Amino acid sequence: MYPHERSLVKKLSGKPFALLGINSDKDLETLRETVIEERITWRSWWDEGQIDGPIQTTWQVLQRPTIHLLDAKGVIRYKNVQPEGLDTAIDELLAETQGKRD
Amino acid sequence: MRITIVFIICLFLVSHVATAEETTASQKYEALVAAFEEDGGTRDFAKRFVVFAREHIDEPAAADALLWVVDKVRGRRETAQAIMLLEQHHAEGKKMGPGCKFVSRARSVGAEKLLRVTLEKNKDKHVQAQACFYLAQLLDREASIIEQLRADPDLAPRVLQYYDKEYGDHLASLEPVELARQREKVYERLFKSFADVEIDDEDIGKIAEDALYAIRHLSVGKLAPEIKGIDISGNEFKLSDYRGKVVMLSFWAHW
Repeated sequence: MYPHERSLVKKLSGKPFALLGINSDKDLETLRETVIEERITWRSWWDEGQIDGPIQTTWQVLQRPTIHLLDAKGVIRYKNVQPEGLDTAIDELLAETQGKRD
Repeated sequence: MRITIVFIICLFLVSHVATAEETTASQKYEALVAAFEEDGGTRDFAKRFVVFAREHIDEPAAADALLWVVDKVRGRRETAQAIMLLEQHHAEGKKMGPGCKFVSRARSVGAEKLLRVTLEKNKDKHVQAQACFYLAQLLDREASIIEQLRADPDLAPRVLQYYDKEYGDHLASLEPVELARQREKVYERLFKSFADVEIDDEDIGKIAEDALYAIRHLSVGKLAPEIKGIDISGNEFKLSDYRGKVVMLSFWAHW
């Protein structure tokens, strides 16, 4: 998943797009190393080191990876997106956002 | 006096004959199950169980036979026949209680109606609760299938191959907003009427509460709940800071 995420972040830099993670790793020190080693440049909330941390509990997320897409208004538009459909769905939401701005 | 005695004897005979017939029907059912375990051949036996059920349609053994079919054979003609017969003859019977789980997994268009009819007509609260719970599970499953198809239309042929044409068409015709409304109604009823009923060791009240929250706040079209917390360097940030941008939320763990 990291390479796909890296390429998305690169491809969409300058566009009104943000990739935000919610991480459930236990050990913060190891996690910091991972972020450097894997070149994870996007920001993540650290969900208290638990798989049933408060963010995942609110969002009722039971497995990782799980990906949801929100539009520019903060409305949930796609849930449990699979990697195959990800780029198309993001492009659609971006086109919508930029279309309204023009 | 004599008439009364004759009447009592008649009653006795009638009830005795009925019991004898019932024993025979359930024995025949047991024999069919044993024969299946010996020979195998699910589809073939499904046909035989349906024939058997038609011959003894109003007896509890018929419900056993039809539920056997629904449990063992999904999304087939025999499944649809069994579901139709259950709805017509056994929705009010006790056997439907444990049967609701199988019905909810039947991949058959009539399954939803059978569960709804059982919920309305059955007098036993525990059976009603199971009908309500498994109706909710059935609608959840359909909602998650159409959600996947919507996110990736190319997936359709791969997903729909598991269903017969009738059920595939049914799935394709479902409308997400209407389906969410139906799910909300069913979960409201589950929460209000059956939160205290025990089903398969599940906490029904909690399940219904979580489902209602998800339908009302975590569905497509709803404003995402705020996320506030610290990043891995300990700095606080929140989701609403990103309004104006398309946001990809990625729940992850490196382990």
